[in-house]
Amino acid sequence: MPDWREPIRERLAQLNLSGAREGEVVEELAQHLEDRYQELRTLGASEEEARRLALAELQNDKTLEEQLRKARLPVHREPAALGSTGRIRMFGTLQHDLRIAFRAIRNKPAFSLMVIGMLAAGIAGNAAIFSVFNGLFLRPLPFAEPDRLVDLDETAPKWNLKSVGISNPDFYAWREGNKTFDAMAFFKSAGYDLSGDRGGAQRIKGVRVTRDMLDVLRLKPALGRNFLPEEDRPGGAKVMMLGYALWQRMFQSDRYVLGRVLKLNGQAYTVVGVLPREAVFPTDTELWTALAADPQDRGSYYLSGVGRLRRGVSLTQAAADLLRVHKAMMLDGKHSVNDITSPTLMPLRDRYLGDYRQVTHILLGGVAIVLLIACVNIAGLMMVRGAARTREIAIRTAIGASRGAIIRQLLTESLVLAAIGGIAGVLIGHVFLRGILTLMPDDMPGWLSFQLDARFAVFCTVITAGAAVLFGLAPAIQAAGVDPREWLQDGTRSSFSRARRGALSALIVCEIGLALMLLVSAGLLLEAFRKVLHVDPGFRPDKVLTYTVELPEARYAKAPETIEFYNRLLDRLRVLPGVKSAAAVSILPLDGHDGYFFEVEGGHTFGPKEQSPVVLGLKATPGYFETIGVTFIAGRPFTDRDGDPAVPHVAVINESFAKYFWPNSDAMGKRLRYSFDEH
Amino acid sequence: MSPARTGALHFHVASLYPMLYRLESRGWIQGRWVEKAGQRRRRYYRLTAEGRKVLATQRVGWQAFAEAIRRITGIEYA
Repeated sequence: MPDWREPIRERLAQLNLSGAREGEVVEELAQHLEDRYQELRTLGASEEEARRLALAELQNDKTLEEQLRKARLPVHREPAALGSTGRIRMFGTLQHDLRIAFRAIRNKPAFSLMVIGMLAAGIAGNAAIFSVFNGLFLRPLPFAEPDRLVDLDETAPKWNLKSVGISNPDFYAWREGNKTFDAMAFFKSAGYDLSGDRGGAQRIKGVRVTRDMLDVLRLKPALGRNFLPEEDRPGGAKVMMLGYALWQRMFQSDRYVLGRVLKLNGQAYTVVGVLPREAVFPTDTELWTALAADPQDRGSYYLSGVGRLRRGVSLTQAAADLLRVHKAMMLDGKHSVNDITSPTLMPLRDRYLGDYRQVTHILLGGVAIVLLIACVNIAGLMMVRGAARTREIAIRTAIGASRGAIIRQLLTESLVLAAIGGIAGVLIGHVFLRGILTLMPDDMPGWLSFQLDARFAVFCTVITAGAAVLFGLAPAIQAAGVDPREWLQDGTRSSFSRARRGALSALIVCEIGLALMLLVSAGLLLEAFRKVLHVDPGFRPDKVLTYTVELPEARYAKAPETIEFYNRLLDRLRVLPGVKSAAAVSILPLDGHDGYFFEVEGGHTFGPKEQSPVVLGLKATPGYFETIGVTFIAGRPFTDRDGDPAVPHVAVINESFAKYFWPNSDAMGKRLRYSFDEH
Repeated sequence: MSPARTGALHFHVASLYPMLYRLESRGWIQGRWVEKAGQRRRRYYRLTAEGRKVLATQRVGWQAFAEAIRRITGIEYA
């Protein structure tokens, strides 16, 4: 009798059955082969032939191992048996649908990968751009009841200026007279050289604020106290509050920092408090000093303001209230300029991020169209695939699957594909987001955060599910409309029905339309961008490096010292290798403005009701025009002699100034002077 | 499995035994070893109560299926 056990053991070896179990299986199979062998022998086969035929049953490919392996898997829940209606439970159905969906996805890996890839690309863009949008515009500002915070400013359309800043008398009056704000604070950013008693100075970005700032933000000092009212007046004691990060970095969170005297720009300031970590507004500041503004100083508009509205007060009500206070100031005759200026209010977020709103909307629209194109694309693929599966669907319909069940099954497949694509998309989107964040301008407020949050999760889930329905529903309905009789009877391979071809064409038309839209908008944007790049700003910024120096007032109080400093600095810079020219200027191009009024000799004169325009001016050293690349229509740039107090002052004006003030004559050699009249 | 030899259904070791094990692990059949004098012991399988129930539903289902196919194809089996 042949030995059956050895060949059987060989086949079972890789299954790692337990000893006892393997013994039983081997014994049982051996018994079967033995029976077969005996049977073949009685039918007249030779010993050798019977043995070969019996063993052939074992050597049938890998089926034995595979089948046994399956048999060892845990018991699956069977799908509800045919005809057993009423026993189908929702969960069982879902599980069944999911299982079939995964099987279908595995069976066509290339197709599935293509769909997942397209979807991931579409969702990645959306996820990244939405994160930006979310961080910029949806996430609440990190303060209590941030919706009540408004930015305050003054506007002067007659001076052709949208925002001029707030003047000292105005802010005192607003703060005093308003009935719509819980609190109002005013501030001006400042740079400081901070040095301790042990020497060594650091450049610190700080801000001069009124003592109401903490109230507006609804914060309390982490340590110490806020500024006292008497410290926030001209001539008050010089005090400061340290930012939390600065306190940690420079003072190792030392609690005894309170009362210490530090030097800011050479002047002694006492530390009275440490700001809480949450004090991230005004942005990018590490140190607060008291503003101590002089209410008599009427000339300069330089302050920013922020207010907390009373509960229930709208922006318009508050604006009307401030306007009332502002205009009432004219009654004393000293503030007639308030006829020209007026308060302007906007939500705090819009003030700092409003410029980005449109850009973000455009980008959101762009990525949404990309996702839509991906969906249409996938829908087309699904439809073609649906055609290939018509037979399968016909059989399912024949054995009792309802139209709804088929659609549900196909949609489940779409959902599973979408879920995988969605997850991949979010992961890729996260990488995109990091890229975008590195491209963001440096002056973005520090309180922005682009972390993933619940809103982001909801967004991604919704667009993924939306995409699944979008690309899955039409093909599913199409596929479910199969007539089983036709398909089962003639058994022909797939060919497209007229309706299906029509739907496919419609999809292609959609896709081309969307792509065209995207192409045109992208083209227009690029064209606009190209134009912006080619706008002549009036100077040549290439190869020009800029940096800012702020001189401490204590040492450079008077003009000659300041001029002396810059002359020495520029002399040193000009001899550096690689430096062609160097100059100093009070304000860099596109970096703000100082506004002045002028009256001129032998040119335009103003009538009693006519408004003199604000002229934006700056002070520059000789060499400025060559350095920044400004060319002359007529005349000459400044020379070293022009700085001499003994020679007449000189000015360079631009074309607009010349045309406005001397419309009929040559401006060269004419004289002008500052006009201190406020009209 | 006597019909196995009549041609309509033919089982190989490779498919028969794994199927039996599967049915057994689902609790639809139960196998036991029977020893008779002078012979090697054999394993016999019988339907469990659960198995009988499943068989009944599947039979009903199969009949419905067969009926559906018959109606679709219009083919009559003898």
